[in-house]
Amino acid sequence: MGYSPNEVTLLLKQLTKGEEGAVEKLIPLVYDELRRLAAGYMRRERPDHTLQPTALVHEAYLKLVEQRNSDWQSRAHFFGVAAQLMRRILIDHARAHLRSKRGGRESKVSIEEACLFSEDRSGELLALDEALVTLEKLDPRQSRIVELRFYGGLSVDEASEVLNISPRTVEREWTIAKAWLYMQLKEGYGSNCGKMDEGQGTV
Amino acid sequence: MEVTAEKWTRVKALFDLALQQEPSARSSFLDSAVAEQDVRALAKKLLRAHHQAGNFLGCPAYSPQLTSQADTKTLNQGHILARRFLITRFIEKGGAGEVYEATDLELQQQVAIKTIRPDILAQPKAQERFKREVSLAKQVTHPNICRIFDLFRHQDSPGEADVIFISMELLRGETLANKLRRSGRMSRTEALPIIIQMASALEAAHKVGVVHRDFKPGNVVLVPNEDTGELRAVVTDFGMAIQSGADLSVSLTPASVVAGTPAYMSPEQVEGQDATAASDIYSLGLVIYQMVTGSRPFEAESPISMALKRLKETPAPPSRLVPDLDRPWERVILKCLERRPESRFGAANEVAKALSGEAIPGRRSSTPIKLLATLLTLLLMATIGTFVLRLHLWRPKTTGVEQPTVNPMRPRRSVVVFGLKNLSGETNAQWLSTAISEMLTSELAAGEILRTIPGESAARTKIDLAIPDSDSFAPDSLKKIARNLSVDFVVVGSYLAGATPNSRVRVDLHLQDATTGETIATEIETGTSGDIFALVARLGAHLRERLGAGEVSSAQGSEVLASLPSDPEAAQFYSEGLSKLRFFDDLRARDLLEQAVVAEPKFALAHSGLATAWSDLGYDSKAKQEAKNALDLSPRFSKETRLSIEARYHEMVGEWQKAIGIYQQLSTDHPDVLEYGLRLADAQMSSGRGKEALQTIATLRRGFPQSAGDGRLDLAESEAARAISDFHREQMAAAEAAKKGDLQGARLLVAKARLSEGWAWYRLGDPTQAASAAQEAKSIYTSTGDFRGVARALNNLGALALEKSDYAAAKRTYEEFLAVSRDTGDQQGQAMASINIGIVLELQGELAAAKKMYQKASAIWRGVGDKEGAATVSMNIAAILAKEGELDSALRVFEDAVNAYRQFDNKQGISEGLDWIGDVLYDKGELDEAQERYSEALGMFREIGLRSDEAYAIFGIGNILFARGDLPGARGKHEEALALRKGLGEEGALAESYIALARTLIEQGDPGQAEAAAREAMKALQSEKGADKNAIAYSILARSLLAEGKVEEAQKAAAQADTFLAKEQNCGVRLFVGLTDARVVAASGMTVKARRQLVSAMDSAKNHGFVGYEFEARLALGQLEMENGQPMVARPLLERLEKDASKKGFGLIARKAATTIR
Repeated sequence: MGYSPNEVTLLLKQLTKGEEGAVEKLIPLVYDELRRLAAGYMRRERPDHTLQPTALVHEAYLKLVEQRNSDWQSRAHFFGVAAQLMRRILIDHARAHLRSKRGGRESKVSIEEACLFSEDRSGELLALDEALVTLEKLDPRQSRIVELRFYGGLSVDEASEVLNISPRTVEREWTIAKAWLYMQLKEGYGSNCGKMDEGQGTV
Repeated sequence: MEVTAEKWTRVKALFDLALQQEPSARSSFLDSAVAEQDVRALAKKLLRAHHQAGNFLGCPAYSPQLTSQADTKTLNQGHILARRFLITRFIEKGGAGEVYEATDLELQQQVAIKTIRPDILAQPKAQERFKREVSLAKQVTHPNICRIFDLFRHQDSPGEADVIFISMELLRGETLANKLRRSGRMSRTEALPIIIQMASALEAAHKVGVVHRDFKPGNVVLVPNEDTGELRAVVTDFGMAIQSGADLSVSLTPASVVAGTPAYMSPEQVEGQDATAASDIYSLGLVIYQMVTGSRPFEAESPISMALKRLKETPAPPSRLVPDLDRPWERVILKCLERRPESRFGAANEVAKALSGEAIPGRRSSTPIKLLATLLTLLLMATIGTFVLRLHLWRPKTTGVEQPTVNPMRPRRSVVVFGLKNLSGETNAQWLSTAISEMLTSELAAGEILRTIPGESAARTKIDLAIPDSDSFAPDSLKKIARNLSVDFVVVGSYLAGATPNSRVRVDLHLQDATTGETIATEIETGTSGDIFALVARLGAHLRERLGAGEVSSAQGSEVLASLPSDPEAAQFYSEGLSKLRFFDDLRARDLLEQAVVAEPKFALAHSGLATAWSDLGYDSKAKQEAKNALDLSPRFSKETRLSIEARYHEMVGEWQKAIGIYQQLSTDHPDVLEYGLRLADAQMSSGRGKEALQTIATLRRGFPQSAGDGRLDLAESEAARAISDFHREQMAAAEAAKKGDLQGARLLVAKARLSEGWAWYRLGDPTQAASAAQEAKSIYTSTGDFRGVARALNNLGALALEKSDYAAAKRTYEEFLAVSRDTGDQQGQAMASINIGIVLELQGELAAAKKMYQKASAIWRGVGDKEGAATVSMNIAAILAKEGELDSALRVFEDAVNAYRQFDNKQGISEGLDWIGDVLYDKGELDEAQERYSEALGMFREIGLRSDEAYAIFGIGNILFARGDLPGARGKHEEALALRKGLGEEGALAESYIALARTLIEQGDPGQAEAAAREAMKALQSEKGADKNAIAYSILARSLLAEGKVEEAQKAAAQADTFLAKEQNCGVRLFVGLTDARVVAASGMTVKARRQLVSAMDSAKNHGFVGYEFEARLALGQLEMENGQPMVARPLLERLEKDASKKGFGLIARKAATTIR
């Protein structure tokens, strides 16, 4: 492949400064790594084992970036790029999973576990993505925030750095976006969502 | 939900405002807000959702502000709680609340008061849980556990929130955390008593069912004895770590590690699971680590990163930071830090015992073996196919040693080195697992006392059973491994290594008896990376001793040296590449192996591995090149190794006889290695010698009675059966293989067996069984990551869809096959998929599109240097050419294909090609030549045992006899072919035979039987949507009806035939049907029309060179004129025809022409 951690770190710095072309160069590198990692996990995945997409992103980060020379802003931007790609990869995998299943069955499981990688969750993950796509049309910034925070695992501060808005705004938008998405998913999934915060299992 | 962007902004604003109100006032606020109805409604809905959403999408990421946001009440000095406790001073602020010193006015003693954050307690089940913990904790009286006295609720004043607190033992002393911060790492003597006490505390709590959940140095207070100064370690905050426990629905969601102490969390807690006693032990391990080294094992920039690291990485061994750390201590620490809870110590006091008990005497390497200092590398063995290459190590001090003898009749004891776990946390050191395993295997194999299992088989077993590397196996797992591999002993272990050549290396091995499950021996060796060759050699010697294999002699050394790479980089690339190869990642394997070869061009084994990778990817010419390289570079290897490499080479270039010869020799030389026999059978099958393969397998069964439960033999039998078209046997053997594979836990074997079985069912005409078998294979392959297997399963499923004539489904499946092959870089797969798509297109009548796909496949094969593959597809192309009526072009292409097949001694290809050529020659009217070809093909088909194709050849000869006018002979042949096809259960081909019979019967003057035969044909074609056969069947029916004088029915039948013709582009079929039409038309009295049709048919036949049809047309014309009362016109036509027909051998037509004249 021919990239080195130093190169990636440099690209990130450029990205932080808002330089042209940095994102374009980064995306294929990050995508490749994420896809490879994701495929690796998919292969080795046992059905009861849970996996966080942000762990993948983090692993990609560890692999691609020269740790000593990168700061939290670079990291935030990396995760910003990776979040988007991660989302795409997850959806691809979820779709592939569903294709091999015959007839969707509704699994009665809390929506927040949509981030988990086992087969049962594929349906929820796709539903979430659909809702997110709808949100995107309505409020692109909110959708991007969800992407950053949920798929990328960015903190409020990190998200605000990436989007160049105030943390307060991030929090506000995040709250509303969550409520809206929850609403959308609940309508599609019936009343099971309501049970979530009653300590149902290891949630 | 139609919301405009503008409205949405207002909804958001409204929502935001509402949130700022008191919870109880929010709803009314919205009701009375100034906004449109729908905006308000949406905001209300959102609000409700917000309330219900709770923890949806997870908590916000860890942020330092979280803890300070806690709105605990700060109590003041002098405050009296619950009318009993007088606050004397503030001690500290913890994660869950605040701690104060207070005087218990009732009991007149100093106590500590700990308040709990109300927001934590506000969560629904929290209070219950908390109360339970407290009541449990109250029961525990232990010197090392902070006493909990009671739980209190204090209401300061009405309207204010309650203060919930507990009273507990007041501890005067600093926390362990503080001490570590202050004075850094501790010595063992200093640390041990503290550790023992902490372990004791944990043990006591666990006994009562209380789990700490947040064990860390900050929760251990060191109380010095007032008199002696001895430290009493007291663990606090048991079960109080509610805020981070998983019991309160505040889990580790995507981004977050909640406020708490992620730094000490066990991996399962990080993942959001409930903490157990094992989690405490993990945390204990971390604390011990820190005490002994002064730092934490997973350092990272943020607590999140640290926690996440824990999930993915193994801890850096403490001995790296403290080189003279006692080994037992290190072992204990690492065992506490096992990622899987089950692997850790079962109880806390075991930890203490392990540390304070006797130290296990470790084996110290006393003799530095001075060996080949310049070789920084490892001895790496390639396993080609399923071989063990036994390399013999050279040890200067062991000369003239007596070798224990092996009884050649008894099978030797077998051992497998199953892989070593990398404990070093360095991904760069991962390759050592493969490398050391390979090296040990060869060390054990030296002298041929033991039978070693190749690394490849171990890898397969790992995939089958989904087992990762481990340093020891439980008896259950051992049994599974033993069953899967049929092995007596298993060697597993772990290693620690650094990145630089001078860093320390340590390898721990366990020798386990697979039958009894016990660990027979443990061997440990340390050294440096540069010296690892010697280190592993020493370990090998220890193991050999244990296994009674004697010492290695010095004589075989030089052979080994010849195979060593001198470049350490090459060694690493090779090892990593080998690993990738075994786990189906051919593309990466190729990349790595290429780098190995670049680093060390004379590295024979790397070339070998590369050959396999290229072969997997379908780049045959490259594979051959690399196989040749390997062969050329291996002259000084041991005989067995060389032969293996040579045999592989011959296989790759298609020199089957030579390969077979070598495998026979290897089998004779090493009669207890089943793999050689299997490879022999494989080579025989590949070269079309199915019968011989079956004989080989039968011999193997006799020679390896202990392998009765090994599914591989049955699988081989199934494949051999396929080679002779014995589909019943194929199916049964495959089913047996799958059954045994299930018992062995050999998933990949089961997958392969199911594929075979599916194929057999397909040929036997049971598509349902076939489909379910293929599906099963596919899902196993998918779950094991063998995407080439997936591709093959898809291929089969496509064929099944085709069988049902579901062309759309077939095309879809083949296209998926194409996509998977593209993804894995599999050239062969792409070519095959393209061909199959072409076949579907051909069946749909889209000849041009089909030809394109074939050409695509051909291009791929040529690009990859696979002449055989290119030959196969060229046959498809030629067949289309023949259909299009381009007989000469078709002939040329067929001849080329046959020539290519001759080069590869591919009997199956040759005979099929000859059969096709026979067909074309027959169409061209070259009867003698055609018969020659058919006979030659038939001979080969019989020799190879391809009974299904035999029928085709016999059918072809029947046609020739028919043309010659030998009607009884023709009938005999057609009946023979029919019987053969019936016996094979091949429905599809039956129709063809019935049609041919009908034709003969008409000429023999038995139209009634002919009609019956025609109807049989149509019955056999019921599910067939293909136009060709249907058209001809109806046509033949029409002819027989005509011969019976049933003109009207004949017309109907002919019309039916025409409907199929509309879609049909097949030239020959058009002619046949056209001629039938003309005859029917003539019989209806429409002479002019009939004449026109006949002339048109004749011209068309002449144009394309279909001599037989031309003659037929001319005959019909002559007959027409005769019946029309025009003998003057008819006679010259027929006389000329008689002459021409006789010249070409078309006896039947000549005879009929002559008869018509009279």
